[in-house]
Amino acid sequence: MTAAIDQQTASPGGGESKRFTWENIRRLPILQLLVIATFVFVSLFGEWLAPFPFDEQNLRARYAAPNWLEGGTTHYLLGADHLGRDVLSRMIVGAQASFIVTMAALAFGSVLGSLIGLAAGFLGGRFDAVVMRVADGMMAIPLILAALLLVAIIGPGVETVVIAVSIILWARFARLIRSEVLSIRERDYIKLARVAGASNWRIMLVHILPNVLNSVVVLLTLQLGFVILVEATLSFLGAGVPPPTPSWGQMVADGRTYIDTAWWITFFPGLAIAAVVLSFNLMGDWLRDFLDPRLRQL
Amino acid sequence: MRYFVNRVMQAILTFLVFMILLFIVTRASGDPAVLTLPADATAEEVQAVRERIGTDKSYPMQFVIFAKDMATLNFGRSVVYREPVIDMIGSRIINSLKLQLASLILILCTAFPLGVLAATKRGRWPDHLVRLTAAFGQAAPGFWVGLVLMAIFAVALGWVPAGGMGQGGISSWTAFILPTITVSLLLFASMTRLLRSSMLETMDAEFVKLARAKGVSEGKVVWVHIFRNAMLPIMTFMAIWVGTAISGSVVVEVVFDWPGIGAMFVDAIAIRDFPIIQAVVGMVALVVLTANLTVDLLYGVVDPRIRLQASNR
Repeated sequence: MTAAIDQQTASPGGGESKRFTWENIRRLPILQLLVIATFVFVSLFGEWLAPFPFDEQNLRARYAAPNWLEGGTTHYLLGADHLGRDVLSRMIVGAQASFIVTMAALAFGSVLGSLIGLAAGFLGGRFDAVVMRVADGMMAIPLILAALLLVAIIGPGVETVVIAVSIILWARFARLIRSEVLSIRERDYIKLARVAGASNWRIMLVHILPNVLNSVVVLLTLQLGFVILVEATLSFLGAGVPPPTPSWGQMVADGRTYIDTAWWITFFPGLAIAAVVLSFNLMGDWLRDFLDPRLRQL
Repeated sequence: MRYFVNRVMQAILTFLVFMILLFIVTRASGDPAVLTLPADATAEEVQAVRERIGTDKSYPMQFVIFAKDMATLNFGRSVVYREPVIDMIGSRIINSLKLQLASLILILCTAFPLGVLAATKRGRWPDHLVRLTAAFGQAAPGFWVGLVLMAIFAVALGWVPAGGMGQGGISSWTAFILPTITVSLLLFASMTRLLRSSMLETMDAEFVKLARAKGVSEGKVVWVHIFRNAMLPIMTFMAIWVGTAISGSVVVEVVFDWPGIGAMFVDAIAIRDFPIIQAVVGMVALVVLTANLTVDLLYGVVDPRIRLQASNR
């Protein structure tokens, strides 16, 4: 079993030295990093980068085909939608919605989940039992359904999506961190710290937390793509960022009706989602092998 | 035996916790009697519903009534359609199950052979091709894949219907093709990935070397010795898959106008039809937890190590 793991990590991560040597940098997933960097850059500065205002309607350009197609407009690179709005500009501005929602949800979910998992693993007993049953209960309902349920209760919007996603995410983090803490708790240096008179708080935050941070980072990157997909799906179902603010999922939904005549309204935003999620997933795989091959099963 | 009893008790407890969560969530935003009724309901109507579902009583009493309604499948009437929810759900569930069954068959015929192929041809082109497909399947949003397939095969080529499920029988099999492929893609991706890494890990085990050393044929080594042992993580995965499958089918049913439970749920959310929402969520949780429990119990039967480990703790 260990042999298998060593063999598998040898290729992407560099088995022996886990430092930023030339060997390891050379194996960096360049293409993925490029896509991710573009995504982040566009999310931050989208409104200045877009060639046209995202809500500018040009009624004469309705359903205009992409520039490079036969009979396409010379004006819009990726064509225009049913209201004559530039698809490319809307995509550039729409990146922000997924970015903000994903970052906020992951930040809340991971911090909350890690702290709860830390406390549950360290304190054990009744607290642990209750917390883990609640986590199981949370995971009993598929994320999309849970999010939609919240939408029905609090109404659609950015906050709803963030709350819904972090409510589900904390359970995943709590479970992983708890199991890590359970094994760390029995190590000698923890016992020594206790003998030296360290308080529970000090042991948890100074002696245990730094040792589980690697796992948190790995799980975080592995969840990134998943959360972007969830955000896009909710937007597609009309439960995400409300219009007129564009988001990729919502653009796909807009174009759905015109799939037989103007496929580009649907195709390009969806392609952008797929490319970003794929890059994050591959990046997460790489980072996991690099930092902590034990987490392969995640 | 203790392992099985413990596990069943744990599952029941989890379901109870879930019902409490659902109870709290549905009441967090106000009186469900108000949410259940249309906006133009009179005060008397609200009061009547309040008495029927018991929101005029104390919270513990309310929970007892809520639990009893759920246990007896008494979900009340739909706000909009004015029909008992249980009657509306029945045929919808069967439609969804038909789609899931078709998808499961497709997965069994593709993911298993291809996952094994990727592992046995590790590092060569079949491996790369399978891994590439899997990576794409995990990244591409289901609703987009569905729409792209629809644009190509239903709209441009006209080979299959663009939506709906026809009569729902064997004769309308063409209507099943695109939704089935779309639903299966995500599971196909995770399944081949997991099967591949699980096979690779088992390949290095001592008993595999022994089997080879004593001259067992290569086919038998792969399918009998490695594959059977690599199946263990797959079983756990199947339990997780139930939840993913439900999420995935929600989207696919919306895209293809499939008259299933997922599409119904999305419609119910849009018009805040709480009796339907509650019924679907409760049933889904029950299905997911039962699947988890079944797999854990099966695991205990198949692999005695797990049983012993759990009872030693």
